[in-house]
Amino acid sequence: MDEKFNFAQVCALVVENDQYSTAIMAQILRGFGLSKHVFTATGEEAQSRIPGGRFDLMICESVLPDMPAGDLIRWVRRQEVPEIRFIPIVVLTGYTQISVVVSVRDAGANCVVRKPVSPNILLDHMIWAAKSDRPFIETEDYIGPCRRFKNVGPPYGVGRRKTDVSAELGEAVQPNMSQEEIDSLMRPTKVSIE
Amino acid sequence: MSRGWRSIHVRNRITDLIRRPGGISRSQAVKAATTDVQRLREDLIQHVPDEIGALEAIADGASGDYLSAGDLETMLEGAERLLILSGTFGLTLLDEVVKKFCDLAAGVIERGQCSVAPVSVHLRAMRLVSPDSPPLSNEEQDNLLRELSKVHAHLGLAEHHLAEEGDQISQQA
Repeated sequence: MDEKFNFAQVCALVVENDQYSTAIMAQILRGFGLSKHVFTATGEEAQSRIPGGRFDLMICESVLPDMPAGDLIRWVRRQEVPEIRFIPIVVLTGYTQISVVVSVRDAGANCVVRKPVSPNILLDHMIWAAKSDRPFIETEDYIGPCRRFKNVGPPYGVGRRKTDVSAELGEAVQPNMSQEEIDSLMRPTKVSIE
Repeated sequence: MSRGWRSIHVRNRITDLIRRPGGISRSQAVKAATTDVQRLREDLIQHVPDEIGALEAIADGASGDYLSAGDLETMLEGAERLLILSGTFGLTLLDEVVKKFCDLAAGVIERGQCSVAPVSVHLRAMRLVSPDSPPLSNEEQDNLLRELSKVHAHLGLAEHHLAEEGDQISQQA
C-alpha cells in the first residue's frame, strides 16, 4: 500500500520573488494538499514573518533581491527558538545559479532543488527533509543538518572529527587471514529465482 | 577545524504532521500538482514573447557592438524566467536554445564584455522557437541547434558546462 502524506496542517513559508515561480509553486503546494502557505518576495520580509509565523517548512529561492539566500538561512539557523532554528529548508536554484548550491548548503539548507520545479522532485525533497534523521551539527562556523550524509568524506578544509576512527594504519595485532579464509567469507552461491 | 561542536537530534513538527491520517499518496499528490500547474499554461506561455523582447531590448541598448558583464547578468536573470516557463510547460526546443544562451553568457561574462553578434544570434533563435512562431521541422531544429553550437565552438566555450557543473554540485548537496 502506498505511503500517504498529509500536508493539510503543514504551514510553509516560500521566499520567492519571481512571478512565474510564485504562481507555479502555489499550484504545486495546493496540489499536495498544502494550503497553508505564505509567500514573501524578499529576505527581509521573510525575517519579519518568521518569528510569529509557526512555519513547518521553508522553501527559498537561492537568489533573493535584497540579500544572499545563505544570509537568510544562516539567520534562521541562529534563532533561539528551536522550531525556527531547526526548520527544514529547501532551496530552489536556477540553471545559471549553480555556484550558490555549495554556499546555501554550507549556510545550513537541508537540500537543493533545481528549477524549474517539478512536482515529483519537490515532493520527494520535502518529504526527505521532513523525515530525515540527519542530526543537526552546531559548530563555531556552521549550524545545520549534518553535511556528511553521503560517504564522500569531510568537506574541503574541514578536518576529521574527534570521534572518527584514526586515519593512521597501525601494525597488525593478529595474523593475517589466509586467502582461503577470505574466500569463504564471500563464497558465491547459486540462487534460483522462480 | 572547529574546536567545539555538538550534534543534536531534531524531530520537527512536520514529521508528525505529515503522518496524520487522511493524507494522499505520492502519486496522487504529484498528479494533482501537475494538473494544477498545467492550468496555468495558457496564461503563462503568452509571456514568452515578452520575455524574449526584454532580452532583445537589452541587446539593442548595448553601447557600440559590445554588451557589458552587467548587461549579460541582467539578461541571464531574464533567461532564468524563460527557463521556468519552457521547463515547466515542456517547450523543449526553446529550453534548449535558452540554455545555450545561458552557457554563452555565463561563459563570456568572465571576459568582462561580449560582442553583441553571438547574443543576437541566440535571441533570433529564441524568436524562431517561441510558441507564437510557426513550428520548425525536425531538420530545421537540428540545423538551428547545430549553428548555435558552432557559435559556442568559435568562442571556445564548452557546451552545457553549466548543466554538467550543476549535476555534480547538486549530487553533492
